[in-house]
Amino acid sequence: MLAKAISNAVLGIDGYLVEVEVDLAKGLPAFNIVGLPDVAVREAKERVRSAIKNSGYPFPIKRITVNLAPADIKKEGAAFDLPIAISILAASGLIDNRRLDDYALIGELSLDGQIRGVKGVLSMALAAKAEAKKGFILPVENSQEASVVEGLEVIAVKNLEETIAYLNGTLKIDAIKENYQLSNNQEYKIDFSDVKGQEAAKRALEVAAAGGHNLIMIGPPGSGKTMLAKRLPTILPSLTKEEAIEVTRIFSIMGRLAKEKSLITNRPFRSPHHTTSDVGLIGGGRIPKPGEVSLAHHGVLFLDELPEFKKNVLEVLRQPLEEGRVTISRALTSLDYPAKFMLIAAMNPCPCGYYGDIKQECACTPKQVNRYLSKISGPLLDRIDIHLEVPRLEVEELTNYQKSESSVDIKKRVEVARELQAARFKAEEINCNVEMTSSMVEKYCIMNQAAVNLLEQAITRLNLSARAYDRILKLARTIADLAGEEIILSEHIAEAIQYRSLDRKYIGGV
Amino acid sequence: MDTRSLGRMGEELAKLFLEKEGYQIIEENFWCRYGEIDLIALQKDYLVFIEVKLSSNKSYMNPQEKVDYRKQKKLEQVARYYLSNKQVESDFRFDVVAISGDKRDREIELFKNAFYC
Repeated sequence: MLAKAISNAVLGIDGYLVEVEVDLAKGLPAFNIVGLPDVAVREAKERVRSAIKNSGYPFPIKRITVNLAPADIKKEGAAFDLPIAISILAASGLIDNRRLDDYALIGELSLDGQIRGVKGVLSMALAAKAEAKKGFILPVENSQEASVVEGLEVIAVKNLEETIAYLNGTLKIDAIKENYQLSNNQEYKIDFSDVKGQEAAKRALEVAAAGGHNLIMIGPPGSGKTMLAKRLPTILPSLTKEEAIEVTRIFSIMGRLAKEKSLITNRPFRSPHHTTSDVGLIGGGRIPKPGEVSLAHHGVLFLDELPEFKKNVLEVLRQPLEEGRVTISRALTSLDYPAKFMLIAAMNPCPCGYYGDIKQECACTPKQVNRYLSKISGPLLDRIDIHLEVPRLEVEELTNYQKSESSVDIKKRVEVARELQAARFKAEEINCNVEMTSSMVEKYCIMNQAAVNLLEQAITRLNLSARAYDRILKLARTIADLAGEEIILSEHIAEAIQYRSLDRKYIGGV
Repeated sequence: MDTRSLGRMGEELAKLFLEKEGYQIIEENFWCRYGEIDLIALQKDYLVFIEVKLSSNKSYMNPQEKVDYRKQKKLEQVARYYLSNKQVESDFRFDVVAISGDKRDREIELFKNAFYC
């Protein structure tokens, strides 16, 4: 009396199939679960027993052994309740075995046999599809999420009875149809037209969005740094379906998905507080969970008050910034999470906030300013392409205010520039200018003579490093893309150079 | 009545009750070095080990509460001994018969498959 059901689990962001085998043997009645179950899985015993009894089915008085294969991966969570219950019933001959092979099952049981939602369903559905399963039986709560996967019959069930009836063919349940929309006009409650003045900053953000460049804003308190950063997602190009699936998978694993929506279609915007730990930022735990950098995948990671972050927290950002992913190793396992994000940082120029301000005098000593700025290490700053000074607003700018350009208009230009880049990098497996390697920079960043001269001059005058040279060229490439130019002109180089202010002014010597 | 005869009486009551329920009693007070099982019976396909518990109205605990974890382990041990001794091959389970109340008003409850090993 052996039965087998197929279920799913998640390791990292990838799902894998788990075979739930049940054997009913003669012997003193017992109920054991093997296959590295954690506490929540072991507790499934009580839930399964009550759910089966309360759904009106007999619970077998046998020696019940449940095996979760593969046995070498630690199983977590309550998602195996449904497959365990179903295979116990199948082993006692109450469920037709034939249909059981075609479907993967997932779900947490409540004591009365209702089925509750679980985490990470999208990844599981993708795994079920990859293993050529015909369908996926899951809780109603998670059905929208899984319906995104094409070619997989998604069956949403409310309770144990319904599942049994469906598997026995006495009840017909229609597969859930996907109902997500990747519209170009996402609804945002905020807009760039809310920001008064700061035209230079808006331009810089547009450039950053167009090329995927990282950006740091420096300015006195109240100049609108946070306000600007929050509006960045409104001008970023819309997510493609593949990107949306990647983003949704990460949110799904963390259990932060809304029930009624199947896909996350807005780019994520994460702004962790500066007391965040390094584990909170890049992810971690005994079995590593994704952190803020992964939640910001394909979106924006905004670090407000950058120097207030602990030094070790900022340093862990280096790997994800460089590679677009994080590898977290712990004793049990080592996992990879995607972390391709735009870093937007904001900071004051000094502890009091008014260093370099036109109106208010700075109250800090040079030593204090130095110490404050030295919290941001060179290597980190090296990875930030655009340094932007956000000055305080003049009174006239606040009062004589004309509504400026809306996000939708800026976004249109950004999308045109991104399309140019996509066409250019078709053969290179990258998407935007910021991902170019040095050899690609040489290949794609072609300047006219005037631009070459200007750049040479800048390098000798400002004493710029080789890395800065690459950075400037990449930035200039984006600016030229925004202008629709094939070849980089001197004006593009000039604009790019002025975005590298921090290289010399603050850090070089106060 | 002393406790021993009280227990004997309880077992008699349980035996009558179970026979009415369709149990075929095959052993009474099976005793071995590990302990004792009050009744062993056959019911349908199952071999049933039965523990009888008595409790008066004055008692603080329900009779069924008296079969605690330690007693369960004890019963399991005896059952294992019995099974290996007799070489039986069938399904088993443990039942508890709980008798409460006094002479005039007895209440007998049967807990099928009372616990798992």
